[in-house]
Amino acid sequence: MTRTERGTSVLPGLGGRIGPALVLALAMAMAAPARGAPTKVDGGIQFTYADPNAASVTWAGEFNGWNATANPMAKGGDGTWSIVMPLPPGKHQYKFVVDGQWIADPENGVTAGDYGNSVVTVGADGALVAQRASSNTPYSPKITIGGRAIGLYQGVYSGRFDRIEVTRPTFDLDLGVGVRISDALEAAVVLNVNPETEDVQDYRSRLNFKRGSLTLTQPAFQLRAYDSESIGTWDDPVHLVGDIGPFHHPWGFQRQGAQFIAHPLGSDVEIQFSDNFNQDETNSDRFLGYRIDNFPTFQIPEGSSPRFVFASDPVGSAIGLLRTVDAGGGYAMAFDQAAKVSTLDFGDNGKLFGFGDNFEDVFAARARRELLPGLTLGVLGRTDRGFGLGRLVLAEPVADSTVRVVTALYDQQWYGGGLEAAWVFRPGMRVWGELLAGARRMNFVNGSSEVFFPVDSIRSTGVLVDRAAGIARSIDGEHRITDRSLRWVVGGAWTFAQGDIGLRAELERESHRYPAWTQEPIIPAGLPPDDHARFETVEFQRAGYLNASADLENAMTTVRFQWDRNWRYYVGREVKTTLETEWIAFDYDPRTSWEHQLWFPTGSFWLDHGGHRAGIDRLTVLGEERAIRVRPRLEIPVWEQRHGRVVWMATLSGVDLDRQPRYAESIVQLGADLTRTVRLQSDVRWVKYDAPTLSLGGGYLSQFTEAVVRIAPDIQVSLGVGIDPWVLDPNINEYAYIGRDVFLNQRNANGFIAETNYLSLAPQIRAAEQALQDERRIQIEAIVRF
Amino acid sequence: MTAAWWPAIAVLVLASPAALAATQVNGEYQLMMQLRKDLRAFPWDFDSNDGAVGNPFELRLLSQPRAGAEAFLKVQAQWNPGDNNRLRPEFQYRESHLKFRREIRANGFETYLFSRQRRFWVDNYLVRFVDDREATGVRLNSWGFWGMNASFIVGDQSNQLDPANLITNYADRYGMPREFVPRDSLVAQARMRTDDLYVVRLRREFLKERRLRVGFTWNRYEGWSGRDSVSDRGPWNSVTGFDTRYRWGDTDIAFEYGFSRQREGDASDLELSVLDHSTGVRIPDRSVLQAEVRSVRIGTVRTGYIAITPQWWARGPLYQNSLGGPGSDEVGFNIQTYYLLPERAVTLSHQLSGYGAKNDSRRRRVKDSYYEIYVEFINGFTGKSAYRRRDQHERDRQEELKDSFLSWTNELQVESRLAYLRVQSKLQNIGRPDHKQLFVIEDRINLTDRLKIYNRFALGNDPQRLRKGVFTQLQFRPTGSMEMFLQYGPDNIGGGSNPVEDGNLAGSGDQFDELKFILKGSF
Repeated sequence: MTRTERGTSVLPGLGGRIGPALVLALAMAMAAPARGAPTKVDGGIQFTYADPNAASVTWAGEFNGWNATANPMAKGGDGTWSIVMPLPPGKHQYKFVVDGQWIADPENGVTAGDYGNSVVTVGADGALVAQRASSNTPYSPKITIGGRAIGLYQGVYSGRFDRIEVTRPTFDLDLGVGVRISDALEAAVVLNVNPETEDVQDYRSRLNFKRGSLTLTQPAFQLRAYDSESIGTWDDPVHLVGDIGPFHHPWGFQRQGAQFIAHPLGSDVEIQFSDNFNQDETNSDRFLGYRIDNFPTFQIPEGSSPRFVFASDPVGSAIGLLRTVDAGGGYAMAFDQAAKVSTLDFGDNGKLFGFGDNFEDVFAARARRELLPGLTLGVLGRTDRGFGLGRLVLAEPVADSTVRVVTALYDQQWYGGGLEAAWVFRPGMRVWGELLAGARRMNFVNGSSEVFFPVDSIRSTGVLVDRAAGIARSIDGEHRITDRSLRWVVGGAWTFAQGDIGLRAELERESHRYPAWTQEPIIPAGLPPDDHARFETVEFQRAGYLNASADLENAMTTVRFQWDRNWRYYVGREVKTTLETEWIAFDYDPRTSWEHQLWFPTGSFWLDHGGHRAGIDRLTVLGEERAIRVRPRLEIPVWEQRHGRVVWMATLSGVDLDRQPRYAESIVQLGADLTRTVRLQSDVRWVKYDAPTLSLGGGYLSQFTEAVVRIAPDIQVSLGVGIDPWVLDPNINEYAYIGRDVFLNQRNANGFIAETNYLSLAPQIRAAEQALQDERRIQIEAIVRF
Repeated sequence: MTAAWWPAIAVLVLASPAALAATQVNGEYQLMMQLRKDLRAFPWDFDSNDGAVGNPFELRLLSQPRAGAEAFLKVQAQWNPGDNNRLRPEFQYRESHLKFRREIRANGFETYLFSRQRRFWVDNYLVRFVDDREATGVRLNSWGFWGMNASFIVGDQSNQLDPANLITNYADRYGMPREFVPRDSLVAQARMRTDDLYVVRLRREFLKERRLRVGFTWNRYEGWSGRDSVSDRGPWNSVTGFDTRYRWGDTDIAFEYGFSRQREGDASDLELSVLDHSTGVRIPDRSVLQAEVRSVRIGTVRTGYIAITPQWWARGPLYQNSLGGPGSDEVGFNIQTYYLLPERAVTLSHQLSGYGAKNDSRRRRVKDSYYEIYVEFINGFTGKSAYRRRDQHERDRQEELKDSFLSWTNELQVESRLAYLRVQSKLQNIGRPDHKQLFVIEDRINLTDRLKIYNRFALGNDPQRLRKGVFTQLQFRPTGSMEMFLQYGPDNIGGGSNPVEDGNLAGSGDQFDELKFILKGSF
């Protein structure tokens, strides 16, 4: 699996192609003056304008009667133009004249007048008077407009036609508007146009709302209401909020909610509430409109997976699944069994059953405080409610002569919480720990009941009950626990040798207990993993739900170790190495269904269900008792006057150190400046599979090379060949180093296929890797931020 | 730390120090109200806002964050019930571009990454090797390097793709719910299934005073068959063209040649001829050839000058150009002649052209003559009288057809600070059963600088029908960014720049009662 290089980039100056580093850039922009902002120097005020390509730049303003030639600016070696103007006290409007074009000072956010002139105010002492950026538009000092435009034009070689085919280009434009409503209240929205994200002709694609927030800042607290905005990931060791999905998205996207932050009594308190109702296909109203007595039955479309078994008489079907045993001279019901007929989850966005899975409400809170110098202790918790709508029909023998059948509609709920602690006991040395306990449960609603049926007769083929004599009891408002979980982590980090050496170690354990009836029928122990749809037979269900009173217990223990080394002391340059290792031991009850394995989100509260987190390297070791992953990384600066850099990073996944890795990936990145504005960079990935149990082997190579023209720090045009590893992450709409992962993921080399069609996984991975290797692509990409 | 995150969650795209450059948002809004009488059952009843009204709100964003860099976006909200199944207007995408320009002394280049814009214009002269068209793509222009002007364009007709139909058709074909269609894969593949367009244009001047100009044009069209399977093999077509122009004194001699390549069709030869006389020269049937001598001037100051511009062309029957022109299978000529009477503001002009197909089974010859006299009178009056005759001769094995079309057009026009008046008449198809008499008077009275009245009265008569178009409009422009119109009558009958040539007047348009109020503002 390739990795996301957060905060580092093969493209200096662009923060990973205007990627996640933008977040930090924003924080800096709001907190401090811009790098090239006007400054007081001896002799007046110094103005600068960075543009190595300009032939002439002059300063013009009220002070010189807007004379475009009187005050030429001098060009520095780095392409920055500067001038010192002896401005007297007072307000001064000005602009730069760049090769004849009048430009407002891009580094000065204070503007005025119909033409958006830049403004500086000089105090009586000759120093600059600080002013808050008013606007970058001539419309209102309260409004700031900004955005990002991306044009991506690709040609893909078609072997069938023996020619390059130009794809429908992507033109993605974000338009952001910020409004300073008052000193305490700010609003921000982002609108977006991107024909590729809509299933319509390009001229019908819309200027859509993308994100928005309202922030109230008071001395004692901050309150933010947001809609699909990045709220971040909690920094407790297990990331109770955020860090979602395979690409580790922060919390807040595709959600609407509020965040409250305060610092009472020297502590840090954060409370969050959010809901994801802004997604489409929200049909919970329809679900809640039904009661158990008018709940419709569903016809499974021909060709669909038969995993959802829902007959027209589910109660009869459930009772029919109960197994009997020969009691010597007759038959008796086998106890410790439960027979379930249900879909555990209608959460398919309403596609098949008409109900959505999207009205999940999340409430989370944390509070922590430094109790002693360096020692911080906190409590935190979270509950998710309203997801996983479904219907349950569960038959259980309660005595020799009675069968209890739960027939219920439910929504589901997660809740959990615990403690976190961190101790910095010496500069550079830190230890931490976190303990969380939680549960998942079904909440019964809308006429749910349990019915006690007297048994008529017990035969070898099953149990017969008197359906007319059943005694019902309402269980609305009651619940059943379906998963009890515990997770803890302890770790420590030590940085020494002036930060050149870093060591980090962590031990983590996660365990779950499930009632047996929560499991989908699975393959018997000892057999290889398979498509479990094969086993949706009555006979197999009978076998699968035995021992209902004995919960399943699964656990995963992980040990991580990381070593970072900077070799600058020895070699005189910033040569860096990193080695990450991770050992995992699994302890599965053989009755555990495939989709309840710990790497799958449906089995784990802590992994934010909904995103399939198991990367492609993990897929090769599914079903094993152990897994190991080693990730070395080496970074060497070369040809330093050209900012050259070589990076090698690898991922080795397998089951043991002394055995061949099942997945071995190497990525080599090379980059150097050809000129002051043109950079050439290349990114090559080679991967080798050796997973005989999956029938997966062979090596695959893919590369990407591009020439990047940096027109300005936030403007670039590039010409590339190959699959670009830097692509827009559709969820957060920012660039991320996930291009190849997305390519493979979209071609079914992903956790969802592993969960639902395991037998097809190897062919899908092979085909996806082959497609990645064979893809011949040329692209022109331009990014302009304004 | 959570606390470290909070400042970042505002609007990511708003931030970064360089985001403080001036950005302009402008646009325009029009509201139109209409009362129309002819669509109701009762003649006294008016129908309001019957759908022929447009209320577009257009927003344009233009940002120039750095010198030489530009981002542009246009969106429009248009009241258009039924479109996208929305009853209320929504902002829809119209066009956008990113532009990068760099100039170093006399050299420079300019790149456009454009979407839904017309950026295919190249400096064609005699033969239109490339037509301008709306598409999405990349264009690079450069100038000065090696004395050459160059344009490279790669485009995609992305408007041909309708993903909604694609998914619906797929679902229908396999009888599955629309939601189960594998959207990612299907639409991802379909993104390639639109026409691709490539153009290269190079031009360079040589010799003293740049008297010789040599140009090269190449285009290629990769078509999409229109079917919805990726395996369909689409058509393709490529044209290579050369053009030269030499200036000799005041006379330009131009010669252009091009040939096409495409999948289908057999090659043979095209015999060149001049005025139906063979030259004995043969070129491939996929070629096109055109030559011109612009303005051979004969005469003296005393006698006045006659300027003659002859042009000749031959187009092979198999020539094909999907990205431009001209048509195929034609040989023809055109001679334009101007004569300016000495010491008189009178211009006489004549144009003679003849062309026809040579290789079709149906032989066709056309001869077209046009005579015009244009006079500038005193006090701002001008007058024009023109006569045109067009003779067609068509013949195949079964029949022979000769036809002639005659027309006579007259115009008188005057304009002053206070008013404008134009009178036009035209007799069309003189002597034929479908002859027409067309007559238009239009005037504008400037009541003040801001308030004006415009009137137009148009008549179109032929043996079948008498068409009328009475249109009057009160125009009020209180500021440069706002205008109001109150008008009566259909604005499209005789509404073109040359009213007697308007198709609605010569065709089926007729008067009906309509009142419109239009308010436009731009910002």
